[in-house]
Amino acid sequence: MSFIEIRNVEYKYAEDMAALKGITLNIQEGEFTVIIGSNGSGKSTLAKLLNVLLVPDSGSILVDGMDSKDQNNVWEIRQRVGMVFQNPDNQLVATTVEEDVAFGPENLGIDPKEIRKRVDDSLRQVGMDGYQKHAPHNLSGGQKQRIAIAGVIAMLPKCIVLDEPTAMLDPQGRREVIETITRLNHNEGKTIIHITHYMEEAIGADRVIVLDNGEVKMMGTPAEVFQEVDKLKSFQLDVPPITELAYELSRSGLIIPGGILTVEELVEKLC
Amino acid sequence: MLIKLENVSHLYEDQSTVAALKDINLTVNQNEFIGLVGHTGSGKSTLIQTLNGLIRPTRGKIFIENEEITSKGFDLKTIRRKIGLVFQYPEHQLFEETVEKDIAFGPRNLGLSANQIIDRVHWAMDMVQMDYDEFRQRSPFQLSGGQKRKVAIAGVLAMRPQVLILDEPSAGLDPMGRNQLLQLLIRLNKEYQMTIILVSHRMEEVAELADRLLVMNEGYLVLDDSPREVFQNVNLLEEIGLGIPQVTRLLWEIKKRGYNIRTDLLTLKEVKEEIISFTRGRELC
Repeated sequence: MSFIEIRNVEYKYAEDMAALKGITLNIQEGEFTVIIGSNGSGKSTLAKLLNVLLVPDSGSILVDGMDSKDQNNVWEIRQRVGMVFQNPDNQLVATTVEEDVAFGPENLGIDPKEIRKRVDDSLRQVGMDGYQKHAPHNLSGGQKQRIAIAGVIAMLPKCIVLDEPTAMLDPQGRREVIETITRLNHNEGKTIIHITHYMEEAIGADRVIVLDNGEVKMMGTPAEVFQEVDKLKSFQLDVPPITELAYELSRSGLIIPGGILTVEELVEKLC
Repeated sequence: MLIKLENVSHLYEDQSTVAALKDINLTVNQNEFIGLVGHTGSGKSTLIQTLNGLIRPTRGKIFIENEEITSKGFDLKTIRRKIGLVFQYPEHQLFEETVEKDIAFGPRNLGLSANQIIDRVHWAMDMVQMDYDEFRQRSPFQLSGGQKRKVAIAGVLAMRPQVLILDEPSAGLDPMGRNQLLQLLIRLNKEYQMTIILVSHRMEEVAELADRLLVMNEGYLVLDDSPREVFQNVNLLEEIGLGIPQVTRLLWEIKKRGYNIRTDLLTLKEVKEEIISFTRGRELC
């Protein structure tokens, strides 16, 4: 059994507005999945379904074997699947960083000593140790978003779903967030589901899933997905600039394999 | 010359030791397309706010069409007609009950006739590719994020400014939304002779669009040149955390390995041609 099983899930916002039209997908524990798709493709709806902010109209979602449609499972699932949203300013609630990170565990009624440990561990894991007493509103966008992630991992989830966590950040902030979630995946074994508009953020993933018009249209390793340049463009998506260059070069007759993702890989092939 | 800054410096009151702008000298000419880049906190946002009078710099002079807007008692309203500013996430500032009213807000304050206002709204919606009849009565709050952004930009366009300044207008848009927006900027610049100042974190974006690039760091204007020249300063740009377009970085990496290749190319097309001739040359030796 997979950690998350999504079976024939449909979701409609209105009678004529289907956001998801029958999605079937398995997510393994410890996997790093990136979901891309244009606006209105259903990405955010899918994210909300995973965290039981929404439940499917038909089909089912099983998290660790628990069906999200069963009311009794809601809190169990939310504890396993934490969620980080786009705007860091809407997610931070307290006046100090440590209070903010402690907010979730406090609501679970956890022992204060254990909370202290979780807060410090979480901040260490996102590279924000030492900021315990800082005011969140004085931090940079990337730091705020890492605090939001710390707040989620203080709940000890197995999985973190991030819905465009880098969309409002500058390049440095984006780097910080990507490095943080990559580390959480590698070192802590957290399952990561990362939704993004930045194609280059998909490069390090185990698997890339392309959503379009409420359906899964492509799925595979980054190299597999990004070598289909024309297909991606038909879904109004881009490919990373280096991938597109490699593709154009191979169309001009140079012998270059498909699915080149980084400058270093392409230099290797050319020199 | 349209805009001129002479020795402009600015200090924020609450952080008196940190200067947001340090001795900026700059001229902007009619119909230029300028990219403005810099790390967060480099002074970009402060700079653009001084240009339309939202911030009065603590030192130095700013001239717009030879009028000094930093002089005491200057009527800043006239400037805001000439210089349109699209803030970051401008959709957060929508407030009217219909799309049409929101876009008409600026023109109405200009004292135009009802017909002129409708013409302006219609034109602005055409420019951002929103159908007038379909959207004019809709509530802006029920639109998607990308559509809201379009309404907000249309509201600034409806003022028909000579200069359009945009602070990261493509942030958070999907690839198609971003492409549409960039095409709009090109059109405003070429067909309507609007002067464009585009603040962006995407080096690819400014490399492709701008005729001239301004680079800010710690309050200083450190580079002011064509993108081609600016992106030759690889070390400086990496040091200040900006980097260069990926395709250009590829050329530098090939050169580092001892090959003879041009590095002053920025677009995918240019780089592709250079690499093709580079590989041909190697086959010959």
